[in-house]
Amino acid sequence: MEAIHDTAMRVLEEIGVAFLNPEAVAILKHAGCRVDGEIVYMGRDFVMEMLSHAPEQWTITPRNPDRKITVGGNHILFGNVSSPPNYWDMEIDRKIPGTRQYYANFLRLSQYYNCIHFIGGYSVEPVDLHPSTRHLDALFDKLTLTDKAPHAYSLGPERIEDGMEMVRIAAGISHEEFDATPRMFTNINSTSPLKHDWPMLDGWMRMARRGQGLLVSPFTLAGAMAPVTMVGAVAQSLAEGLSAIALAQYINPGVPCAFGTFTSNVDMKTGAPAFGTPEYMRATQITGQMCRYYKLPMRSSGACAANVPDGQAMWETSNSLWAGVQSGSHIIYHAAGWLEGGLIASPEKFVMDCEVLSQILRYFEPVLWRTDPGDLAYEAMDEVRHNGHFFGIQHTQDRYETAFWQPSLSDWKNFEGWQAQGGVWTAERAHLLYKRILEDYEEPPMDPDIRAELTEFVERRRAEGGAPTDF
Amino acid sequence: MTTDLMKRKRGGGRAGHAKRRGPAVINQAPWCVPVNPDRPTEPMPMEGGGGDP
Repeated sequence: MEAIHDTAMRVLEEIGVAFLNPEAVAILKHAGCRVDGEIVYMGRDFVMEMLSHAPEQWTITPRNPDRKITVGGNHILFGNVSSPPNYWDMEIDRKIPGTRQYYANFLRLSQYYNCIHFIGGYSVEPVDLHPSTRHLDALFDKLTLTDKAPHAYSLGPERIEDGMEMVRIAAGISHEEFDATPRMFTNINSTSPLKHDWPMLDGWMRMARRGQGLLVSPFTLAGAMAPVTMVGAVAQSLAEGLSAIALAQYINPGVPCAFGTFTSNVDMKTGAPAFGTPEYMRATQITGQMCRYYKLPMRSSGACAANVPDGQAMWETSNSLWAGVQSGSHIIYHAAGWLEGGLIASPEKFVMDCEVLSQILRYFEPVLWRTDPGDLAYEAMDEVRHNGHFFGIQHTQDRYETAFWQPSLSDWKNFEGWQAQGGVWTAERAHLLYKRILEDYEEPPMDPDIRAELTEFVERRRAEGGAPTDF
Repeated sequence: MTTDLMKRKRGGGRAGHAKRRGPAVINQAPWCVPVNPDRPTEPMPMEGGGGDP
């Protein structure tokens, strides 16, 4: 660990990180960092002093305060797939661009499932909305179709400022109340190797000034944008992420931050990213160790390279999710719905992943290792002895309804029973289930006056042109 | 047809929907912030030198 830490610090001190944002460079120069053009060199003393300001645990309170989440400690939180540009479902059976309708359906699924704790980026990019005003409509949908802790993209001043204002309006709170405690979060990705881009840094600094939740997740694919060795890739990832956190802490000491790992490997035959691999799992665990070393909350992901919700999709995602659990991750992004390395979102995959998440949540329940006399069940064994069975005895009768995790999607019938009911494979069952969930979904309540104010804000900002685009 | 539909009494909004829909589509535990009770897996020794025996 000391060797990885020392390597990350040497990178910050001797190679430096490019900050493609003049304001950020000026701030860090003022902080005493050595600057050469866009390259900022941070001394380890400065970095460690800044990290000492970052809280080990913090909260996000969304518009429904009952959905408040705690980031850090021994808490773990799961969120929806975020940001794929494409959509796939069994009925369409093609990879097609995302739309607002598909995006809204993912929001409904995210609200419906209790194993989803926060709402990350757009589950699928609604590309039928114009980019200049997309953030307004997409955030309106997020804030009305769900009441869980929301994310907004750090993509330049207009989008993040609009995002903060919409979250404030949706919560029905004053600017002072918004600034007093985190109500939302953003996530930035460094442009590996060793670079932070202008719009993300801009959003990062604006959110830092308002005291909102900050996640930085370097996209360090070993062999492509980072060294081919996993500890080297982790060290580079740390240098990139810690440099952003140091900037945030210098701007607003104590602002809540979390370090996100997105270190994985690529297929060295093609350059394609791979996820849920043994290397990915170890990188996630090692990053968890380093986050505890720095006393920072940690983010990881539920990711896969598979293109459709098949066996590969589930073993890769399950490996990723369990690596998140093993690593002590606090926030697990993309925990439901991700395919094709993050390029496709699928409702069937969402439902299949939630089946795994519900199992993980059950796995956490202390009742499974409780050792009361009733749990040890000596009397039950004494009653049945050598020739009976446990189905009918009172000990079983008293407990059977809650004794085990209950599937929503898994099929536990034997082959003949499964075949007699049509021999339906998992993804097809997931397809039917996601449609039934959408029918059963209920929009969370929102005060009509707040909804009207939110609508008015969106319309006003739309009339003003939203955010500038470069095309 | 339109007139008939317009005359029809409203189904009771959220309460009516809950009444009509019957049992939940999936059984799930209530929403809460979960706790991970396990010690993390930590492959790296403090002073480095992990990996090969």
